[in-house]
Amino acid sequence: MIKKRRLILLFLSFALLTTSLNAQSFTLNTFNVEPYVQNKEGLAVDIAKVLFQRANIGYIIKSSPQKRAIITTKQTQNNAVLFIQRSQERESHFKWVGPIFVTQTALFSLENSNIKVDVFKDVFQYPLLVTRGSADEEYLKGFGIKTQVANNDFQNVRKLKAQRAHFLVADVISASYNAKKANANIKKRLTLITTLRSLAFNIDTSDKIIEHLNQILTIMYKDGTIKKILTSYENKFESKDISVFFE
Amino acid sequence: MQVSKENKLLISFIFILFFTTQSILANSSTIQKWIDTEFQPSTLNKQDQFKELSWFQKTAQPFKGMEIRVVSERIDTHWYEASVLAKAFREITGINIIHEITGEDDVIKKIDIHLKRGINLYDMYINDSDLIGTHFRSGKVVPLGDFMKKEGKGVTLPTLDLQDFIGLSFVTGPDKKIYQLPDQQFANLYWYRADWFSRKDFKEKFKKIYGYELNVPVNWSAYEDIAEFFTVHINKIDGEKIYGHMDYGKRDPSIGWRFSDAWLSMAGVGDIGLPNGLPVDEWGIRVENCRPVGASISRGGAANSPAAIYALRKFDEWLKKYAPPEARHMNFSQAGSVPAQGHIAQQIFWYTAFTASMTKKGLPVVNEDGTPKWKMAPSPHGVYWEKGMKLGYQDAGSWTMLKSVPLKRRKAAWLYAQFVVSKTVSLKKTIVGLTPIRISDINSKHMSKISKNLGGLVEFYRSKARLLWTPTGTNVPDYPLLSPAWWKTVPKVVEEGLSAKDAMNELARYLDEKLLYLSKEKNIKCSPLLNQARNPSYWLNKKGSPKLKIENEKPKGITVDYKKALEIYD
Repeated sequence: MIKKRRLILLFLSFALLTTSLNAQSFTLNTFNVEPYVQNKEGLAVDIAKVLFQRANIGYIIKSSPQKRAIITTKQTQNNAVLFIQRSQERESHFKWVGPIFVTQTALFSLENSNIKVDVFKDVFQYPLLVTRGSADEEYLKGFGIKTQVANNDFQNVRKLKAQRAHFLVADVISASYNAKKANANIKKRLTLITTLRSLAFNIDTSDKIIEHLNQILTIMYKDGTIKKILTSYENKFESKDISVFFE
Repeated sequence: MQVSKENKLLISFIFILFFTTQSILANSSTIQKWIDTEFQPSTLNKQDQFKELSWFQKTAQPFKGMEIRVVSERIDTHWYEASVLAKAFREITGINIIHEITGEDDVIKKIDIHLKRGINLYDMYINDSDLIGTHFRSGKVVPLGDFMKKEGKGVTLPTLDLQDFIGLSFVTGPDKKIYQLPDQQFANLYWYRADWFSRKDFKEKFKKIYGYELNVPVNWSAYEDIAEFFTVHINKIDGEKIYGHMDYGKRDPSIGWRFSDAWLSMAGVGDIGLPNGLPVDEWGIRVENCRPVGASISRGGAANSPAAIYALRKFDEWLKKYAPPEARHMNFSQAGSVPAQGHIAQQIFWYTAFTASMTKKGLPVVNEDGTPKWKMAPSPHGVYWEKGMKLGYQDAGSWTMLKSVPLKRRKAAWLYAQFVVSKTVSLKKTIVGLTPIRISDINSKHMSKISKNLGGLVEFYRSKARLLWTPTGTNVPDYPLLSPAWWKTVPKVVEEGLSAKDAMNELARYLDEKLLYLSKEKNIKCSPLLNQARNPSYWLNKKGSPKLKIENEKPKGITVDYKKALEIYD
């Protein structure tokens, strides 16, 4: 009898939570970072769509420049940024759901480069290509390294191809995708840092929603959903370096 | 020409012998190269270094060609590991190491995700031993003590010499098992301008105003007087504005560490007992039979006790009255370099990991001969502190192995972990990063030789005072879950004018709520079990922590000569 009553209570509370979450709707502020996000589509968007659908929470996707996406989310309730790197500097400004994706930042050169690189320190004498305003640029600044910045990885890959610099620092997926697009032969020389890409929510978002989305995300890792989405992009970029995280 | 079967065999044998000899010679010369060019000085002689490195070379054979991923925070010691030791290890063993360097907050996030989401991000972590309470409870961390005796026995360095590690108690769980292995340690110590403190005119003026000697403060009253003396009464030196205190107060995870690391332990919030105080630790969490039972006074904890409120009130008061005005808007990284600029007289606690960067020639705080104008000494204690309690914080970044990583990868990573703490390399690593882990290094002749340039670091680590400087302990059952409590509440006092009492009440509530949440977790050892809430007077009138309010929280200041500052803790 007690068991039956508990079951009814559990069902009612779940139904109540689902109804209350369903009433919520979020604006997901995105910015173009191919192949993660491109015109409201891409790898990160696919993951977010499944996440929100399974959580039974409404959403709309809005595209804007990165800076505006972040500022809008900071200032507006029921907004989130899809996606940014969770960092100590950003920690206290948002509530976090993630990682929606795990990737790596690495050092690349042209395939035929013969500059010897054993450790990161070996390239400190060279200016490194990196995307302006990215977490990778911040990371390099922390080491006091000289950089050459461009607006996106595609431009940097083209600069590398034109031998305007010896090395590029970029996300492994983005570098691989843009190298294909630019028809450049590049090779990974060193992994620098594993990065966690997350959804950053406005600070006033309810803890219940954050907890609920994080729980769903855990299930998506465990049941192979994230890996399946990643695999669906396998003809667009090389993902063997990071597929280890999703096994 | 016909070659007989016997001759064919002989030729093959000669070839094999030739190539084997070449390979052995090449391997030996690689080892010798590293011993001669990098791993000097060492507490081992070159012959013993050679034996130790040969063991790594031989034992690593089955793992040759593997790529192993590890991560650590960004300090000089780990940078040395990532850029020099990882390279040496690869050349000697053939195992390629990706040693990532990132912020401490990121390391904690990553190990938390690895533990809770089951994503194998790294093969091993250098993770602060502050998480020992999390690790021994989770059941997901390999107790290294067991690993060394069982599945990892064949890959455990015979000359590792565990008893030589000064931080072994920090990485041991209540079940007496060793969970982690220290890689680097640094303490939070009092920092002061020894040159200013020894000026005759300043000494006379201080004595005239306060009635005692300007010297190393033993208690907070003296620290406060000295802060006021330099900020208000001295005010300027050579026309430059100077300050008697430095700290930071920006809303950021780093204000959380600063507060949970040391402020409450210095104030005297917890109980007597090392390394963390039992039953109440320096976070104010009470433990009964290894189970956390509460953080608020009403449940027997001390997070909102009079001592904790006193700690936060003094932090806020000194920051606003005696530190540079910009300090309250700074975080850890912004504030770290400020004392080196030459206008700060003292800092209640300062991270000794910055010793190397604070002794660079040309800095306003370094003499022309390279000796520092400053010194470090034990931090002063608050009015609630009693003999037998911990006094400060010591960071112990420690190798941590998770069960979900495949055994072969764990074994290869364990070889690298032991390599970077082995006696062959550890003295050199200590000289580079100044984060000692072995007593043999601390007592070495070389450390005696360089001590005059290190502002008291060697003297501190050779004294018994170091025993009172300990990391967060086992009372904290889930560090990643509980630690945001600090940075979410402390800045409210600095930024929003919330009273220290209200902030600590909020903090205690937050901690209790998280303990309650964890009490529902079925799969953790020694899970929290909250005490029933009672009238606070029940606990306050019992012996020990939480302690009753002391009416006079500012007794007379006590200062001592630098040499005595270490001796009083013997």
